[in-house]
Amino acid sequence: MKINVTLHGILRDYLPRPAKGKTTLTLPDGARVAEVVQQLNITRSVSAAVNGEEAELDRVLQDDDQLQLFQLIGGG
Amino acid sequence: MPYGYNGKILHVNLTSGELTVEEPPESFYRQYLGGSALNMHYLLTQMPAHADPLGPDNILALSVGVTTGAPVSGQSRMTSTAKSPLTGAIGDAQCGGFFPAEMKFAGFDAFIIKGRSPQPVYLWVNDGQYELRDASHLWGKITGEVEAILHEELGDKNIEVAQIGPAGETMVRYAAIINMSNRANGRTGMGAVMGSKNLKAVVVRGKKGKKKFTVANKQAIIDMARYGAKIIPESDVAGLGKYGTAETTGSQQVVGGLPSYNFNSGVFDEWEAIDGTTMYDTILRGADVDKQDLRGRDTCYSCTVRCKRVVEITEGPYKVDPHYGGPEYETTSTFGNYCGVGDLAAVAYANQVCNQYGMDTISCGATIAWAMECFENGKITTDDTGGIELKFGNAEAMVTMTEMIARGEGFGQLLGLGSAAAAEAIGRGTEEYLITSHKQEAPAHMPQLKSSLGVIYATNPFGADHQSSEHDAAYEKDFDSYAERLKVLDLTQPQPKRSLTPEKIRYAVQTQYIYSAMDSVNVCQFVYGPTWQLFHVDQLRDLIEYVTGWDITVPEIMTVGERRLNMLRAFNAREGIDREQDKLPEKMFKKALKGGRSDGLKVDRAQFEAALDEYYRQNEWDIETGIPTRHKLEALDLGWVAEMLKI
Ligand code: SF4
Repeated sequence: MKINVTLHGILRDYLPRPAKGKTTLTLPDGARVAEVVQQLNITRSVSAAVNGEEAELDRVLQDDDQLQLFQLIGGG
Repeated sequence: MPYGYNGKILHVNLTSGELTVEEPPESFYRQYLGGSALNMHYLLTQMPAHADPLGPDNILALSVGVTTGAPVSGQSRMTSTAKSPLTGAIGDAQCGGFFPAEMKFAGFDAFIIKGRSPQPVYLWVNDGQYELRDASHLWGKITGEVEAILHEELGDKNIEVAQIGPAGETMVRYAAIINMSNRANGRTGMGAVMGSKNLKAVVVRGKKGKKKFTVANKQAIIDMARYGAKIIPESDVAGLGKYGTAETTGSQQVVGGLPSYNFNSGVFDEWEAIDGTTMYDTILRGADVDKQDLRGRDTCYSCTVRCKRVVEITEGPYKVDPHYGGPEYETTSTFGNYCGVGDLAAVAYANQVCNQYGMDTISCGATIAWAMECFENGKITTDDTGGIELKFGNAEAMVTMTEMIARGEGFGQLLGLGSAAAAEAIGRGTEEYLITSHKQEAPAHMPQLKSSLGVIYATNPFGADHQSSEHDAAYEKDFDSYAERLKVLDLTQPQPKRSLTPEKIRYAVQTQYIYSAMDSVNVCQFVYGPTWQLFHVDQLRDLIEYVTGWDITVPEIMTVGERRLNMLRAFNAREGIDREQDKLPEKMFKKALKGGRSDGLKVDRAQFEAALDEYYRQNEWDIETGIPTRHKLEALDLGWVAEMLKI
């Protein structure tokens, strides 16, 4: 399945600069958010949204999902 | 000369024009560390009770801390404290930039300003010398113009200027003190106090080329600065530096914590248009040639995080001059999502107006958002606004209203009193839409989700504030990321989401003592702090030791924070302000949020009231009144405050 990923803020730096945080990944069925984080070699603590809604890292993804990842910030 | 501080405080009587220098002993500096706690010493000992905030009896205290000016990240901060014309209670606000360090180099730790000058003046402090100078020619001018004139007049481009804009002169109740034309002592109307005193600016300059600042252990500070610079890329503040504080917009949106439409919703569909990443890609200076990291970021003295924004817009209706900086998350929120405005150029322009005229962007944007909700509900009409359709989402109306407030024109004059006073003047049920605590507009974090922050909003002596404690998430679901650091504060038992258990309150109270101390030492809360910041609390301790040579401990630092909090609280008690005023906006209890992840959420009143009891109990304050007890004050070496309060 294909997952459309958008990395926000500092997480964009895990992709080449011209990508501006956007990439499409092909993953096996049943893949979870955590696997995307791993595949992109993201070493920071993240929060996620799938199709605009907050999602846990163990959330199972579906084909064509829009996945957004954000750096986790405790305060702000 | 002592290490870290000058040992000199300049007292300025604007009524008589008399300037005197006080040289307090070392014990005084160790008791307060500087900043807010030091300022409170003078407000409590020298200001009469019930002084008119805009009268000569009010005292405006400006001070730096013992570490200000050390060559390391996050130390150049200055606190301004006075009775607030916005809240009628204590007012307190911090700024960064280069002014604080230069003030230290100019030879003073604090300026204690009283009285009222018969004509506009500015205070010129140059390498230990000081004088009041005529400012008639500066009155009415915006910040950038004043800076340019003063550079010329004093023949030195390296002076630092903390000034009021025209909004401070006309005493907009949330007028700010601005330095560098883009850094603000924003909250609680300190600029209005300065304006009421006819003081246009404070200008400082240290000895040219030679910084008069000695520290106990220079090598340790250099090592700390190097270490800090080295760990930034992997740290939690890397994104803050690169994309600015508005980087956080998206993560707030996803959890439903992005206050939108005057806090009616926690989500804003157009959030991506105004977030930090978009700002980086579009309007940061240099973005057009992909050089924004070099040209679109600014800093404070000696800070390698470089989180400040420099925006340049040369085309379209909203042109922005990079001299006036760029918006923070709080500003993109109040002018953006609070008002339903997804136009980044309009938001950046409103930010510029605030920096030119000297206004707090939070209270300004939030007051407009409140007026928008009143308008949407027919409580305010075009008859009031002079024909402006003050509707959510109307960027042009938001910008026009910002300018009208800044210039004291038409309906803007009323909004310049702040939303709580404006609601009182208008009536018609407009108070129903207020989002104020202690008459101060709430910043862009939501008590509906951040429950202990709600307790801080309600109880904080200078009104709703987001930088007075660590927010809830770090002691909830995100705990694992910060466990090691929180252990230093004996905070080891994370709590469920949105809980207000005694343990959650303990987290709020203990981190509030840290934040309170940081506003006294005067350090940046992005660089030092209990969880995600660059340096943790132990390293703040190290810094104080390296600078002053004192064998200080974390508990001692926290005691200073607690002392300062009790002094603020005691000041309010003397003014007759007690638990009665410790409230969250009614709207947060009554009206459920709409949309997104926080749909349906309200603050639970019974849970909240019980949490207040617990909060006072843990602070050892009187639960009925919320006033500090004699026992507590004496334990903090504040027996004299108890005497003053006759408790
Ligand atoms: S982190 Fe940002 S606000 Fe804080 S001192 Fe550094 S540049 Fe200034």
